[in-house]
Amino acid sequence: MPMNKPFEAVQAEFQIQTLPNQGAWELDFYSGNFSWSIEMYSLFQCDASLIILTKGYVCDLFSASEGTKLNNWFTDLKSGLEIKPLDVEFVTNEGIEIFFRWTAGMFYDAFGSPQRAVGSIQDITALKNDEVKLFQYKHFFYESNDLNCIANVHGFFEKVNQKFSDLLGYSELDLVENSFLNFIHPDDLGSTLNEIEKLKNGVITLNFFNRYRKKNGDYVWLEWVSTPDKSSGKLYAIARDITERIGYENSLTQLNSELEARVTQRTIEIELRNKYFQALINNSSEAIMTFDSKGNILYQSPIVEKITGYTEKELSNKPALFFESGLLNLASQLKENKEGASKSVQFTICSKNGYLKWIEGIITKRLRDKNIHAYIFNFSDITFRKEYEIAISQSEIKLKKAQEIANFGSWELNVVTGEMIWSEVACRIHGFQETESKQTFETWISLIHPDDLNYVIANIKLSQETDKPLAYSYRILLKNKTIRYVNLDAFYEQDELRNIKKINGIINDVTEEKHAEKELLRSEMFTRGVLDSLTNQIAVIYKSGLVKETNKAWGDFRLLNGETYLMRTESGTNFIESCKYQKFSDHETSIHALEGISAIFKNKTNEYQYEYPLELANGMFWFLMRITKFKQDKSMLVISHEDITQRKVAELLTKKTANDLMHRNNELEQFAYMVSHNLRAPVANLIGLSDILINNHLPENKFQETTKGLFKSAHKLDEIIKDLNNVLQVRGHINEKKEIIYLAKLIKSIQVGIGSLVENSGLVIKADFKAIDRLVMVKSYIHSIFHNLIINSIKYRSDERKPVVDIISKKHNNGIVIRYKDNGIGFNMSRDKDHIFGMYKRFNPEIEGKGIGLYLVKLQVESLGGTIKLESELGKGAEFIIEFKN
Amino acid sequence: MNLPNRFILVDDDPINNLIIEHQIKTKISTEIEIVSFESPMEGFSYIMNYDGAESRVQTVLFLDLNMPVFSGWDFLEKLEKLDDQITNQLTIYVSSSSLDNRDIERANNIDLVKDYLIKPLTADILVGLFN
Repeated sequence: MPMNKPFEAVQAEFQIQTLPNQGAWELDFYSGNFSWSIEMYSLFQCDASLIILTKGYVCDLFSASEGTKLNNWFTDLKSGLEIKPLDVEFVTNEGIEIFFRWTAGMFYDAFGSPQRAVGSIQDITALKNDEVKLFQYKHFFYESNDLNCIANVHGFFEKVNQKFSDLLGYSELDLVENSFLNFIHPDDLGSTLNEIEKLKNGVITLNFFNRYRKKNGDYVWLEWVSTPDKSSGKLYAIARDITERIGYENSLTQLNSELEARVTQRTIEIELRNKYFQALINNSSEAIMTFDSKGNILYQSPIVEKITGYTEKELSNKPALFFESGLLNLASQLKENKEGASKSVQFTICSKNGYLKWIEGIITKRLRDKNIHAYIFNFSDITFRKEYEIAISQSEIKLKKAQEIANFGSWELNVVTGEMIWSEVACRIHGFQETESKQTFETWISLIHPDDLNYVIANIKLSQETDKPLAYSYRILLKNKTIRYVNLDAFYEQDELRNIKKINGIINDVTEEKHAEKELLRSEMFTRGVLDSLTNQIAVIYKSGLVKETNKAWGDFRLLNGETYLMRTESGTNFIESCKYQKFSDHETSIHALEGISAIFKNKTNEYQYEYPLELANGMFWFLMRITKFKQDKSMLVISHEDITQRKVAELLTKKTANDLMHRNNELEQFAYMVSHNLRAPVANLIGLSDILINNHLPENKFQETTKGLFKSAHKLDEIIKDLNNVLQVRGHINEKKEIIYLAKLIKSIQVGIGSLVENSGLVIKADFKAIDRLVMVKSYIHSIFHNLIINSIKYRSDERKPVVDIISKKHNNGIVIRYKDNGIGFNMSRDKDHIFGMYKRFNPEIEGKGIGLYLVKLQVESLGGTIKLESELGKGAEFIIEFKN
Repeated sequence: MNLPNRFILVDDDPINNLIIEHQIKTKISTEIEIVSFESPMEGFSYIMNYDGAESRVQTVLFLDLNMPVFSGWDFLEKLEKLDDQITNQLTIYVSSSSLDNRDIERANNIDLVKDYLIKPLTADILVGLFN
């Protein structure tokens, strides 16, 4: 459509640009002609070639009310009234609302009457929307349930909403006129000023608490979120009244501290009483000591130090001083007896300054006395008495020795005269009395055993030639056919020419010893045979570690398995030194061997046992090392190794089966316990409420309340039954097929499934499945495990930070480990560690939950053959570690 | 009837408190004060502040067992630490829905506990306690 000339002129005058959302119009009041610029057609969505443009047509483009408004505006223009811009709403064919702002400029004729109006039309929808938003913001600010305010960094409120002034009890005016610092609790002033300083630098305030004084003088705790506008210095802040929450937290702490104070008070009273008895003991003349069944000294009275010279501290490092004497053994014998049983004992100790002290005392068993829990040893120093006793017994010993010497006989042979003089004992040894007068050289020769005669004569000759004293053993054959073994020592007396003049002989009857020796030899051979036929490997060693003897099995073991295996060193080597050098492949066992040896020699035990596995060329073996006292000789001990592989394998198998059964049984018991608790709770409520309904005529409001209770309880019961169903399904056998599960995809699908929860909480899930990106398992279980963990992370997220979950999969020891970590409020491990995966266990009374999620997670992980454990720190988050072994 | 001056109900399940309150009012007396707590900790603080010496308030306490965080067992354990002057004023009934013998035995082994009552506390049971 061609433009009118006057319109072009107007266009220039109004500097209207042909923007897509802006156009120009003209109305001639004389002719009633209406025209507009070309872009108006597209703005109003009409076809220029189809319409005749009039004022009426334009008004009809709008809804009836908006059209009338526009028509009235035109009329006002014509009548020359004040001209204001007019906003009119237009609805497009697509149903979108658009606002147009009409403006007008007037042209007058020579008489001053309006001739025509010219103006612009502008799409101001965006502007309009902003106005609506502004309105909404204001509404939000003033009507919201939060405590909203606008303040500035100079410490003044600029605006506060009604809630805020209601809470504090001051009017908005009161609040705005005073610095808000005047309302803050003096103790919080410093931290608040600090926070304002941060806000000045553009740092957002999160999780900041302070106390505000109300008009009535009380203080409220407020938690602040505040955003600064750096350019204007304004602070946009939202506060929450957390007075109640802080009160709740404090009440538990206070409760505990009050209880503690009372316990302390009692402790003081008891201690006073203790001091009295302590003084009693300190002044007693008898020493008192208590010790436990392992030989740790628990208490000693001051007299103990007087006797031993050791202070309490020194003595506790030297328990052997008392216990080497077998005191502990005696105590352990008492163990079988009744409480309070006692035994008297006597032994020696070496005091600190080196004196031998004799101790006599009584051990009393007081293990079950809750105040003592120990053996009590009362004793005194009896050294003086004892030394006297010993002096007497020593003189007895000397006497015996003298008698033994009587077994030595002697004779003297005069080589020149052939005369021989015998002592009385010498006669007796040869089987006749001194009075029988047989003391001749012939007699001596005739009584030598015929088998030994040549040997004796040869010796005499040899001795004569070499001019040396003689010492040899031979047998005497008596008339009654008795054989006697004797040792002979002979000395020669020579004359000046070095010819033998006399032979002096000392003769000693050793028959008894000889018999014993023989017996010993025979028994040794017998023992040897027995030892060598045993499959147990046996060695006897001295206190020094020197190996005295080993049996055949011991040596064979070393030969078969090479030198690298411990404890089979040959006789003549030092066993203890070998253990210390740890040159054997199983030095773990060597440590135990040393421990055992020292325990035996220190008399701490009679037998030491240690079971150990050993990897040999032909497989894995188990051995039992046994170190025992050598009964006949305290300076030796016996070490043996017994192959217990068969028993051990059976034992381990049984243990595992027993563990499995116990685990299963525990689960069942827990389940039964749970049913009796949780399933019954709503049932009890149902019965209780029905009891009220049946037995009373209730007023309407009570009736309502009661039936509402019935309804609630019935639903709770239903929920529990559904939970049980879930649990029982997992407990049953896994019938579902295994399939390939792509972890990333699975997590995505869970996130989509609980989309609104994830969105509302702002949860971010970071997953790293680079190491293991898929599992071959029952999909529904894996889905449920992650589903429950994620729901948990959302429920127990921290208010103080944005919730983030990290999931990572890794290979570990041939298996798969999945670590699931969140930054939520975490668990109180010291308190709840044992219950976290229990059924119907809950740890936070403020958060809704049934306590079934983690129980299901554990059941499902275990059904898949895996294990789950938890690491957590209260307030910092939780990490679940799921492990599947191959 | 040998009636106390006060009833204290401690149970995290409000419905149960409602049931007992109602039964007391209709079957025992409308006069006796009833104080009920859903938070066991608040209930404990209330008892802890009993003044032993001056006012002696004969009180019957109905205590639930199965409560999160601060269970009935915890409650009893802490009660045992209080002065006799306070606990002497209490007659304690454990009231639980559990039928488990171990619970019953454990409760009866605690000196402070007078009896173990299995929920629900019907009118008959309640009346029986005070006859």
